[in-house]
Amino acid sequence: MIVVNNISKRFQALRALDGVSFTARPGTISALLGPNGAGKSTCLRILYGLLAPDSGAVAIDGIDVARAPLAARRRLGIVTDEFGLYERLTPRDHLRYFGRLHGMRGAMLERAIERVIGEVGLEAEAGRACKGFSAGQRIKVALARALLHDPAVLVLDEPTRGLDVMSTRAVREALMRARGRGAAVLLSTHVMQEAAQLCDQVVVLAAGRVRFAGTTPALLAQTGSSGLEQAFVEVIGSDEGIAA
Amino acid sequence: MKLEELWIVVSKEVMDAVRDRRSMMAGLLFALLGPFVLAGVLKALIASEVDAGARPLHLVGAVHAPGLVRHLEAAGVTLQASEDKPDSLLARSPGAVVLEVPAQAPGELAQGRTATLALWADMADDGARRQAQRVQALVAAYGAQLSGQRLLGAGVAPQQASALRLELRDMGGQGGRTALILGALPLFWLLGLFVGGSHVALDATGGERERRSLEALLAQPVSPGTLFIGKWLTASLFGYVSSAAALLLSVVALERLPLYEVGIAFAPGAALLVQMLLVLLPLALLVGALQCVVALHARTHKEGQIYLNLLQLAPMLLMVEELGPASPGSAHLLPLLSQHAHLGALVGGQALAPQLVAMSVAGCLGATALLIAFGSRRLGSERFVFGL
Repeated sequence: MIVVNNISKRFQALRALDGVSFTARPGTISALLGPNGAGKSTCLRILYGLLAPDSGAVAIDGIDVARAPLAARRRLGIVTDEFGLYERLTPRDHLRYFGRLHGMRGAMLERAIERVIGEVGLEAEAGRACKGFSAGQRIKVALARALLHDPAVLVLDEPTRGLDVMSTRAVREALMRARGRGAAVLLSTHVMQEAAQLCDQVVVLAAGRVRFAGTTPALLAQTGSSGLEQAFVEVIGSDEGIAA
Repeated sequence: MKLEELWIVVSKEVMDAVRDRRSMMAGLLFALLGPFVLAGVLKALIASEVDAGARPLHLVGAVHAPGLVRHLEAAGVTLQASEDKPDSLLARSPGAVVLEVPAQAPGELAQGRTATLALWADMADDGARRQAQRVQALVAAYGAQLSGQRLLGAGVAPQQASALRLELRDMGGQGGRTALILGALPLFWLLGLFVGGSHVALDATGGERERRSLEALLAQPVSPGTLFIGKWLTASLFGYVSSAAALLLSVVALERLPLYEVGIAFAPGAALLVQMLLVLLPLALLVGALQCVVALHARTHKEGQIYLNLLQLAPMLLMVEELGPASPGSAHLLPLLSQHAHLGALVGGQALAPQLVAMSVAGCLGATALLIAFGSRRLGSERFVFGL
């Protein structure tokens, strides 16, 4: 469970987040939907404790991230905005390293590695150095790394960006499996279709503020729009009108 | 848990660095090249110095000066009697030195006159010049002996006729240049510290930023301090291994050189080797920390390489400034200078003063601790990591 409570963050003159609150429950997939520069990455980086909020707090499974970042991260599976790989290591080496950092050892670790390799479909590449991997293969390694310790909370920053159809599908299937296991999944995206198809909840973020939080049918109902794209523009646009 | 985490980070970094075969071999090769080149130069030098002592002196007209022959042979000069003309002899073997005793010399001596000998040598040739100077000195000494006998015959004490005598004490002597070059050895070992771990430090710090793997790594349940220390230890290890390899290779190479022929003893035993390796250790830790901190600030591999290459020039400082016996004890707090002085002393067969060694270790470890604290802070700072 993720509880984001009224967080704000400023970078010099730029107000990146302004009183953002939302909750992501276990067994659901939530989308943090917003245009580029809306504050999605900032929000997620606060969530896994790499940025400190100026005010407000984030709790992962009841653990305050600012106070106990390491304990919170143990419950988190993370696919960051940038997930460069170590070119000379194989996917198995990557998984072994990050699994051990999560406190996994021995046969239990090896079993988990084989499980996630199967889940994301990396069997063919698992023993090959990552140099020259395609974008799809790279995201699979990053995803396997996030799923390895079977985290209670899964956070992904634009995981399907730049992927082909097959890879996008593989990512979606992995996320649905995680939801099935009872994980709280939160992903940021600027693709409305993705949010609509995959997610139980949509949190619309624009200019550092939450413009809407709820299901997609509720979003349609609130805006009186028939299409999601129209609803999205409406939610962001109307608020921009207020701001102006 | 902390130590175990550290081990996890170190073993991953070592695996990553070892798989970068080309960089690793290049680093090692560079560190090992120095001792190799030095051994080659030494070998040539010893050959020339030994040669200068053993080369024969061509003597034309030996029959006219049996006394001189005895005198020269007693001084260890190898004589080669020859009946050729000196200029044709020199034309045949350039660089040779020819002493010519004219046929009339015995007669002149018998009549109490001055006999004139001739010494033929190419004084532009280093070896020939040195041999000629030696022969000059020996002939002059023999001449002084003969004069002394004449004076005695005339009832004068020889020392009355020679008020001054100048003796040359050649401090360069044989093996002088060899000793000078041997003194450069520690410089190569110190260079190894800088060269061997450089690519590891760069790949583990600035490299994480360039390949965009830093954010994902920092988002793991491990403190930035543990990550930095793991990377630092790995870089230090590679520098140390490279330096130790250069040290051991120097010893192996020099043991095969006939250093004894030029009067130099360099055959360090196990105890001395261990001492040298221990002197290098704290500096290895400091160099690794410095490289990691510097490379951490590089945005790209190229940028980091420029910084680290500049850092590799640090040992060159030792050509300008070094600690001597006159330096104050506190000067041994200065890293690099202190280790250089200690290694030089060990190579020269001197014992180390424990209080100076303690200073040297304290200086290195103190600076290392500061750098690690700084690097860990940087890695934990959102402004630094995200370039805000």
